[in-house]
Amino acid sequence: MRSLTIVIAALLAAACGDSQTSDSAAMPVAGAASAASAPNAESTPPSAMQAAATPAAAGTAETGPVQGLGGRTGELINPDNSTMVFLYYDLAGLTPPIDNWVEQDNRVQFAQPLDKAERRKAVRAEYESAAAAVRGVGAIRLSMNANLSEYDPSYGEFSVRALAPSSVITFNDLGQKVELRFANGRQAQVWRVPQADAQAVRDKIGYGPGVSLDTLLRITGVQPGPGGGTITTEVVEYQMQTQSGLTIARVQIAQR
Amino acid sequence: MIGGALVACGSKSGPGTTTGGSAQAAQAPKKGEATAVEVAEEMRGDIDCPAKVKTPKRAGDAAVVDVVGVRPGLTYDEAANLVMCTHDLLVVTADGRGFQLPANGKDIRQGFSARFAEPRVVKSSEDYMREMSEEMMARSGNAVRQDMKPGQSKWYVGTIGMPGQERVITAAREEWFEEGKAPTVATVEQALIKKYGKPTRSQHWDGGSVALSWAYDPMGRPITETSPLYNSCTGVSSPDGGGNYSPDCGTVVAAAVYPQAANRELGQMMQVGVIDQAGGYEALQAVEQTLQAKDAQLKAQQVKDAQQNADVPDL
Repeated sequence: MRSLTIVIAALLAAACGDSQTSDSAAMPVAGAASAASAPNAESTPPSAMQAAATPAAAGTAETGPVQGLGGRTGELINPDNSTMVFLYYDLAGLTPPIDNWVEQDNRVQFAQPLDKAERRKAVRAEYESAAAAVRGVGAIRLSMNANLSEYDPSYGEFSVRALAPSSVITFNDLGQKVELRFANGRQAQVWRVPQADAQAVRDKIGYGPGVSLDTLLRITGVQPGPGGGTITTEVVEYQMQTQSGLTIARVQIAQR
Repeated sequence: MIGGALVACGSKSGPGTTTGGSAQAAQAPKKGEATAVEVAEEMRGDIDCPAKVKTPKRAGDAAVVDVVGVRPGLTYDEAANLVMCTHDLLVVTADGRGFQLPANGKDIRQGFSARFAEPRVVKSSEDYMREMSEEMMARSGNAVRQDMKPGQSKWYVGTIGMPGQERVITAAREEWFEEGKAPTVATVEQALIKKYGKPTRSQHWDGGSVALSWAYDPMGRPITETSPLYNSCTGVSSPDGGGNYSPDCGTVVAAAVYPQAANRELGQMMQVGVIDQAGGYEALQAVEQTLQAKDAQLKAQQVKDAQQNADVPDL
């Protein structure tokens, strides 16, 4: 377990004091049906999802665009591995080694001699375009399995373990490993539900494969490291749905 | 989660090898025969007891998590001083256990052990041969050898932080009760409950031993049996044990009381340990981050220097 790269301790530490979640927003939602994204396995990046940087699109219904690190307002929706690698380079202020990546790309390496120059040009254009697409991104929307705990009657809450402080989402591509963590996971993981409503929530969840989680994350920091780095985020809000599409919670997290 | 206190990383620096509460006063062991008291005096240096602790106290409503005064958050020197003040014969030595840190973190004091000083005996070659023979006989007969004698205690205190700023993240103490003065297991259990409160978990084994723990989440709330953390946030009571550090768990106090073989009502020894999992995790993160930044800075400076001063090879 010691293999994890240790980063962003200060942010984790700073997040410790305030245990307030927005209780009113954390109440279970009566079964309004909506289409849920396919949940992804915990600690794995959402795969085959569309990545799109949409400046000024990130935001909550109440507060408008979410401002991430350095006032960035762009948003990625379920980014793939390579997009997260480009985002890491952009956030860290590092120049991505596009020349190396182009030469290591199989499409260039195994291209016919006559096609090499053209293929190199095309691949380079792809990488440069991908690098440009993440500029200004300060928020990420991710869909994953909530890994919801059983109800804890002692404190009247469920734990959304996908958002726990120990939760790490890893993106591997281009020889880089980028980790995404939740600086306010200590608060964000707590979903308070009155005891009287807990059974209804459990009944909705049933015994299926789990609850899907759609979360909006604000990027708050980046920590470079050898062979990649860590992007630290704060959970702004999330929504949980059962496999049958029943929305069971919409939660907004009190921001520091 | 981080598995800690298991990997020997060879850090022997700091006031550890013969540290005292005021570490500078400690002396290197001398040669020649000496009693345990003399050895302890040599190794402990000038210790002021009771120990002075400048680290602010925990909040009044915070859970009790100290082991004879030693608690997470104290400085290395405060903890060493406190430990040595618990008995005149206890001497503190740097402990090689700890986390694997980058090479530029070798000066970080990752903790210390404390044991009773032993008399220094000058041995002849015949003594060594006889001891080796006895050891061989004992091993072949599967003899049980305890590393502690009745009336003795030993400690392990784990610390982390940049050099000079190391703070306690775990502490554990083992005490063997004196023959003829051993309390009952029940008495020890009640004393533990009186100090630490109602345990979040208690186990009474058939052999007569008792294991108790007081686990808290990172927000300081007791982890009850209905919590999803109940089976994942565990403590370590033994000074010889290794701990896990997870940001999901808070401080955990663990205790164990073992009975005598001849009478299971009477206690033979007890262990009490405390570990600050989230605090330790965050402190380790901070250290690794700082070391990484310093390393990057050093390498960048080396490259800069090389660009200015290095020779150009003859080609």
